[in-house]
Amino acid sequence: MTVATHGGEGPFPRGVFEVRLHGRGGQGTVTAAELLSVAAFEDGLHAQAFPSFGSERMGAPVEAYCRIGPAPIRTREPVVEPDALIIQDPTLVHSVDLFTGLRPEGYVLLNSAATFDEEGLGELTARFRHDRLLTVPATELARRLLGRATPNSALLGGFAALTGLVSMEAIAGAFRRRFPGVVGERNVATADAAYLHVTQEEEEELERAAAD
Amino acid sequence: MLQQIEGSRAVARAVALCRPQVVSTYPISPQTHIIEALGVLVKTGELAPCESINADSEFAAMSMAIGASAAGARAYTATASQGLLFMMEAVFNAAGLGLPIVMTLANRAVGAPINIWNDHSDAMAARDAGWVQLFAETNQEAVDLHVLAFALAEELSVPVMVCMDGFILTHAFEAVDLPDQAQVDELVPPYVPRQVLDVDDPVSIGAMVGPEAFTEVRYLAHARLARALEVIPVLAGRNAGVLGRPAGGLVHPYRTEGARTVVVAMGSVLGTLKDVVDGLRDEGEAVGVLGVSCFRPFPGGHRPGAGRRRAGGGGGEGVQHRVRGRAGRRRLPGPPGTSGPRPHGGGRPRRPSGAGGVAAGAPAGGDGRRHGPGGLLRPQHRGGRRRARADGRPPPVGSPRRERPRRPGPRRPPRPMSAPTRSRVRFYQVGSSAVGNRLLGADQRTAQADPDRTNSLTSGHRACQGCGEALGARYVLDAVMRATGGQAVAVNATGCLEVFSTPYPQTSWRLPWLHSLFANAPSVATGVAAALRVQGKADVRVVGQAGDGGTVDIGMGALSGMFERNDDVLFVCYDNEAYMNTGVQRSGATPPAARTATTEAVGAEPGNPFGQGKDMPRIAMAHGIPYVATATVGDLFDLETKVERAMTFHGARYLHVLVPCPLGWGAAPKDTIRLARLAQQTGLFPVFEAEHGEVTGVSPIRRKVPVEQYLRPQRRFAHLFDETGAVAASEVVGRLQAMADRTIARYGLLDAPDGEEGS
Repeated sequence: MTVATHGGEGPFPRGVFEVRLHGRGGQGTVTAAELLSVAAFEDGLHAQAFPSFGSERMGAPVEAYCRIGPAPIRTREPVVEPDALIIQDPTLVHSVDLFTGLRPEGYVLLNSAATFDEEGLGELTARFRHDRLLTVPATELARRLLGRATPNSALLGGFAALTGLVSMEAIAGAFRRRFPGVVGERNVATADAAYLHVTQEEEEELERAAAD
Repeated sequence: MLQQIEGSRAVARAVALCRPQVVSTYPISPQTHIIEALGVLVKTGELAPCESINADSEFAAMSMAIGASAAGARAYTATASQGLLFMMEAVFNAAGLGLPIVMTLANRAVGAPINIWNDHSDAMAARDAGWVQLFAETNQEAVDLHVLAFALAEELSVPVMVCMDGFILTHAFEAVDLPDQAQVDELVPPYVPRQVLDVDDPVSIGAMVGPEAFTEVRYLAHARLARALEVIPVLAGRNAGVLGRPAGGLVHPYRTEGARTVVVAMGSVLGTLKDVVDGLRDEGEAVGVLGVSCFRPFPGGHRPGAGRRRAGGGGGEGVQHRVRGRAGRRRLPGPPGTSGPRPHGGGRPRRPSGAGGVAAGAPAGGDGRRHGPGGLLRPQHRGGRRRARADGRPPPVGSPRRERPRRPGPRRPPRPMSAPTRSRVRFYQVGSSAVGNRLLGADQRTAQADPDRTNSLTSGHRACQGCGEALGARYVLDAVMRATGGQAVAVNATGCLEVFSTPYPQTSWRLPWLHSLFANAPSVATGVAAALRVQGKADVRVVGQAGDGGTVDIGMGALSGMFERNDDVLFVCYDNEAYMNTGVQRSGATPPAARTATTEAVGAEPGNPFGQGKDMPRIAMAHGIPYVATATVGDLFDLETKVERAMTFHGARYLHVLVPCPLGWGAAPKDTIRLARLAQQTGLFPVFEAEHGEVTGVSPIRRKVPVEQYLRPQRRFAHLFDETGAVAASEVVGRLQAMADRTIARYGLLDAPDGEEGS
């Protein structure tokens, strides 16, 4: 079914930006989608987040969705042609068709300390824009700064850096409201570190490109 | 305030703003986040006063809402899918009783195969339950519909179900504008119940209605439900004015002007449909969408534009059914006298003329008296004159014998708990407690010796001659009324006691009395107790009562839940050892070898098999509740004493009373007391008390009687004897004697201080 969406300018050429998040039960995938929607709401956008899961247990593959746009979002269908993928665990590729439906211009944010090629995802991601594929060592960052291996806060920071769709201030606000106190601050620090990691990597990339 | 919030949490906050007083909860996906969030609001005191009860099933949750609502509290619960089906009997009951309960239904598929995701088949199963069913498209609408639902329910005295798509809405984060408390207080005024369990104005709710009035009572319920079609637009307009946005309504047309095709749907799918319609309209197609917000009652007058009508979407099989019904020019069930299907319900004979004996517009009774559709009754005596009041309210209660004010002056204070216990006052008279009474001071005599006793179950009821249950119930409830100074409410399970006491439009109950269903009396009692507590009437005590079927079999889950939560209810089982109301079938309390209609005295092992059955008092004790006792109608002084003892405790209490049934046991009516006494004296029925799970006292057996003396007068054991009365089945009688001996040993019935004359 074709869902008509009214075109827009800037970050919303289709009128709405759709994100699909993949993770495993316990990684905070659903929470990440919720917080992304809260951050977008804080930035004055319309947003909708919802999980596809029902009774999955710890470790089982989980999907969640987030739609962001300048106008109210009416459809509530699962996101099947995402503009961006957030993948919390690269090993999901063995059980889930991660890249299905991703738009040619789409973003991919992968939780990994390695590259797409090193993760064995080079072939699967070859058809997408290279500059929109990004890995963030989210688990490592989280383990160091958060004290637990929950990659979602680092990935949200990375998402903000990669897409520029939501502000870091809004993401920090979402974390602080959801987790008041020290836990919220640690999440913010983790997201900030990921944001910095990505922007530095991008700068290095630009410098390399300039040097070439 | 506009906020990005999960649908379930938004609904929980909206419900809290409506100030429900009793919230009964049971988890089931995808509804669970709602009750979790409400539980937090209650625990933190943000929602107060409110009692949140963790129910033991959805059936219990709805039953608690029934009890709470009938006791005057605003009641709320939430469920989904299998949960709705599990509570379905109570769902119908709530509507029949006209109780304005609001329930959120997080729409979910019904298995098998088990599936937790969204469709509307759960709501469709309740389509004809007598509830208003509202469907939300968005979480904003879900919030606003809940605000509307409470006002609507209480305006009409009908229950309202707010349906929101499971996961798609319940788990979706989106922006919702939550109203503030002042706005909701304006839109949802305090609950003024239309009928209520009130000790100062006792009514009986939930009577049995026969063919002569069932059609009329059901018609009244239908007419109230149908009024929702007028009331909803009014409330929606008012709410929209206060909230500053569209806030409900019957239907929501979208681009239907000039449409050749209109898609009719309900729920969250409407958003996608609107996107599709926009796309098709851009391509020049004349299409539109009609969102149905109020599905029951169905807004039949609305025609979604000209041209082709197609129903679908939203899992809406029911929508298709309804819309086709309209398109085919069939009328929805309408009032009698129209061309719609007539309500030939409840045993009303069908006449060849087709008129069905239905007089259009004739309310129940036809004599100017008004009866609540749930069977709202006030005590009436045979022979008592009933005068309708000028204002049309039901006639006052009057006693034909004693002309005294219905509720004189100040309430009688609770009697000090100086009642003698069996161990402190020894009676050596046998067969009459009147003798014992004369030996006692006036304040120590039995409740029945008091000419001013309540007569809780007054004369004129339809129990059989020699009914042990009627005797037991009267003693129990009069003792409760004496112990509480008249501050008591009774909740009754379906059964003989209920049927013989309340043949509509009469009732024998002179205390507030509620009958809901067979299996849910403990849960209903829990709801009543919670409602009284939250209204600051904790001094009004609640008694649940049922027969052995309603206690040890079908009601046991609810009873165990009530025990385990230690709810402040005295539950009384009147044990006559079989399903007597339905014609003497075996229950879990039927003794071995007894003949019943389902354990006939035929075959190699006549009667009820050995090795079966439940020992409910010991099961109750295993819950560790404050007080458990057994008694028989063979020792009514002991029975009253135990009731009064039970009323000194708060929390769950259980009283198991053996009440011989002349019909079911095949005994002479004059032998009821004798058989009850023999059951105790043989050791077959141990009479004891227990506190917090430990036996604290037993009624000793003074002279042990062989079991055959107890068995012989009862036709249900006739196959154990020959025509001369001699034991024919000595092995069976021996096994029963061994059972009695084991029970005697277990409780030390011959060892107790009073028992020296025995053995």
